[in-house]
Amino acid sequence: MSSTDLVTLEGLSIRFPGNPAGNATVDAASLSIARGEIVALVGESGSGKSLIAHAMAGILTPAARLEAETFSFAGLDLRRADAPGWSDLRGREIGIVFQNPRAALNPVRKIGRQIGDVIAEHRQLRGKALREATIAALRAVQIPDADRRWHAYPGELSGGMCQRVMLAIAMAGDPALLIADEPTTGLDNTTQAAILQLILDQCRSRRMACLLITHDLALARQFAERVIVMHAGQVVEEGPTEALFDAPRHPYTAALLAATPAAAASVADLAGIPGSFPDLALPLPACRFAGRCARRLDRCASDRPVLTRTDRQVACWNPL
Amino acid sequence: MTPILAVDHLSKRFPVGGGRLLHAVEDVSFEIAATESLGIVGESGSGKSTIARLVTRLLAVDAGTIRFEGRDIAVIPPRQFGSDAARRSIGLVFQNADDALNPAFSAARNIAVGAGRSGATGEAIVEVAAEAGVPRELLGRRPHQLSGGQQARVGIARALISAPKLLVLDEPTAALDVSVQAAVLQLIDRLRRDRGMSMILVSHDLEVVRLMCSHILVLYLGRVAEYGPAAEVLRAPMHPYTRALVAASPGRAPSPPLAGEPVSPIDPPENACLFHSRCPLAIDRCRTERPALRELGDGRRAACHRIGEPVAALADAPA
Amino acid sequence: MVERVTSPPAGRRVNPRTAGAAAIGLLLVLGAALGPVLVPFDPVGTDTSASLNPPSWVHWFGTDQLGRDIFSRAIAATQIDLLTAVLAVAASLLIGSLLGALAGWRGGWVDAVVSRVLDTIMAFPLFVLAVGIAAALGNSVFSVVLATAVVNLPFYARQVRAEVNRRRNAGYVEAARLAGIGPVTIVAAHIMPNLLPPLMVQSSLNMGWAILNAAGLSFIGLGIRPPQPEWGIMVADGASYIISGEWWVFTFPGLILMLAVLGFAFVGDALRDRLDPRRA
Repeated sequence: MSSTDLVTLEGLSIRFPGNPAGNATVDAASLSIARGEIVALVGESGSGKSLIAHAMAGILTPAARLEAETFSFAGLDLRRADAPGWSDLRGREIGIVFQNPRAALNPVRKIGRQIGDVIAEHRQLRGKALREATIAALRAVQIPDADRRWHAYPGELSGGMCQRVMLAIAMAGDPALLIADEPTTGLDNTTQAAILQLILDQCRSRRMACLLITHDLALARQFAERVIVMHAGQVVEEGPTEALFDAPRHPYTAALLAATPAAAASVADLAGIPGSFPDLALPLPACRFAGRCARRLDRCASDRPVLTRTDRQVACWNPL
Repeated sequence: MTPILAVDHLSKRFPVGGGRLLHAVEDVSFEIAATESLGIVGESGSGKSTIARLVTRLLAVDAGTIRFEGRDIAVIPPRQFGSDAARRSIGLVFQNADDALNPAFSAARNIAVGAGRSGATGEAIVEVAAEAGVPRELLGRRPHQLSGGQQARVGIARALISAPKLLVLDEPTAALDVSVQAAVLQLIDRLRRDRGMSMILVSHDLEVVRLMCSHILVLYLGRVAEYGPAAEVLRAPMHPYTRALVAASPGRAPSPPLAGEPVSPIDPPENACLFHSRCPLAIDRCRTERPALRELGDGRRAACHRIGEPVAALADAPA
Repeated sequence: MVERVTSPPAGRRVNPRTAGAAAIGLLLVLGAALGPVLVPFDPVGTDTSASLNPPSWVHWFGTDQLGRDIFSRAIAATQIDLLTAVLAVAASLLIGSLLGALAGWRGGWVDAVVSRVLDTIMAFPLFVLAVGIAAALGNSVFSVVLATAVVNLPFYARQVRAEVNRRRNAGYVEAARLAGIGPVTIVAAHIMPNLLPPLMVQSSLNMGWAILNAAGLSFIGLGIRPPQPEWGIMVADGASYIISGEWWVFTFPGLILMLAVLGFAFVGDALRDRLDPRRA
């Protein structure tokens, strides 16, 4: 992590009051994203990856309590959601694309207007200039026949098209960071590939950083420069994509890879992870993977392993 | 050897108002031999889920035959299939969405549903649950008290309790985490081998089909695009759509995404290949003549005019 | 895709709302069952010398214009009001659910016919229908019950229709169909248990409404006739004394009426909490 990073998180915890065991849903996570970098945040459900994304975008549910040593975006301290200039920041500097695009779009408003609303807000354009900018935005996300499609309602568009519209809305303010939270879940494979390639191309051409949140390791491998792996609210491993996938150091990362069908030659090669997902309502070991880890040591239950500061960061007392 | 299931020219169309028909499944034919497993793949709108429901007789058939153990069950309307002898021999496992299991029933009672009107004894339920990896302590719980993986296992137990010979699974692991999916897939594979069942696995995930199935059927907009041994088809796909699907699998070498708009499945053109609007190899003939499903040797079939042409001609195909 | 395992509930803590509901419910039932026997004064016995006495230690709620003890009348009225409400709500719940389930499951022309019938019923104001029924079948408690039941029917029917329709294609319903379970069993034993919470809440709130309706109908002379005690009649009687200052004649019956309606609302909440499959 360097001071020129776009996003810096250190010791970020998100808690929901009322948890019987007092466990934090996100437990002292640390990560950073440099300008223009494409980072994948990988984890299964319950890993806390979506919560972190929501926190970054300032849309964390009010029921959650956030605390962090450092939580900054472009130098702005985000630890308090009411930090000055926060809401201005959100739309302009951070764009978000969610899963289920159809649910995120207003079904009774033409897509041209929805994109136009955001452009007007951030670039102060009106009338003809606004319309031209909107059509340009539609073309940038490869929606064919943009002039005509301007008038379409979300219900008339396919899932892939809706996601492109979402992307156009997210990029309307020319953000420095694009957060894509499972952007292709529910879309067909062929559409998925096209959407991700589009996101990648846009990020490159606009020098936009991208935080891609996904449970799909293969996707992360294909599109990200750096991968951060989370388990049950803890960051367990981080590193350049190829290095991490070729030689995972954390037992959870290795187990995830072994469980992916794409990596297996036959069914027998598939390895599930023994045990079940840790129940946050019960007391948990310091390293939350300890209960299911084949390489567990005694100290894993009592001492939280910290991310070691080398080129590959691993939070493990007994890494591979 | 009589195949356990032989489907011929199966069609299903849904009226969508104004006299128009959505061709969900059109002229689909395939067979499954005993203990074989067929993966049916396709994207949304391909008709794969509809086929699963036609084979299990949840939907009425518009045209075609479904021969189960030699007997045509397509003629039996869904309402009467419940009393048919064949009913117990076909099981269906659903995608583990919120409503795969009855929220008001315990796990045990949910499993008992699979046994039909006659019900099931307590021991039978415990036994099949154990086989599916559901421990006894969990049987009294309601679905919302179970994890996703446990719910999937209960769903599997429910399908197995009638001792089916053919198991149809509709995206059984789509909603599960990767680590849980691995365990459930291994369970399904083991059960299939232990019980000698035949299997139809409907999935959008080619890698899952590669691992679990001996054969694969690729659907596009309700029609068969390609069929053959799974490993072969995925290693060397012949139909352009199959090639696009394989290339789009995350982790494969990225290739240019499919351009163009899909043809509408509502009243589609009779005399055109339905893939022509997006196919990188489409020629004029594709717009005027529908390609028939041809035998290509080695148990492979595909419906494309351009298969068999020399590779050089395919390389510079006009759009 | 939430992988969250919730352990089974450790034990039931008593919810104050449930306790309150149970208390009121018990009081109502006791009042209905034993009221007429236990009350200090004869609910219909008149004593004109004690007319319009304010509340005192002898007459806790005072007396009405005919010298009848209001407290005794109010308690005795519980029986008739509760009975009317229970019968009416039960009838509309049962018949409404049947119609709604039929329409929701079958769809098509069955649904269309049933929906039009429901629309027709909804077009009738309660009072018009009640007067019509009373004219046809005679002026009695039965007419009031029938009118209330019929007017209320569409709300249950529509709710059940929507819920059944929604669940028709649920995985567990398809599994039951695949297993050869007949549609009647599926709707009654598989789908309906999932509908119980909203229906129970609806019924409890309905009870309050049904009581108010019985009171309203008896206000205009239908159904319950004097001297039989009934909350609505008592409020109606007392209304004429607002100006002259004998506030107790309508206030106490009104309060009891309000308490009963409130009590049913609590019961509804408590029932919903208990019956929700996700909590039990």
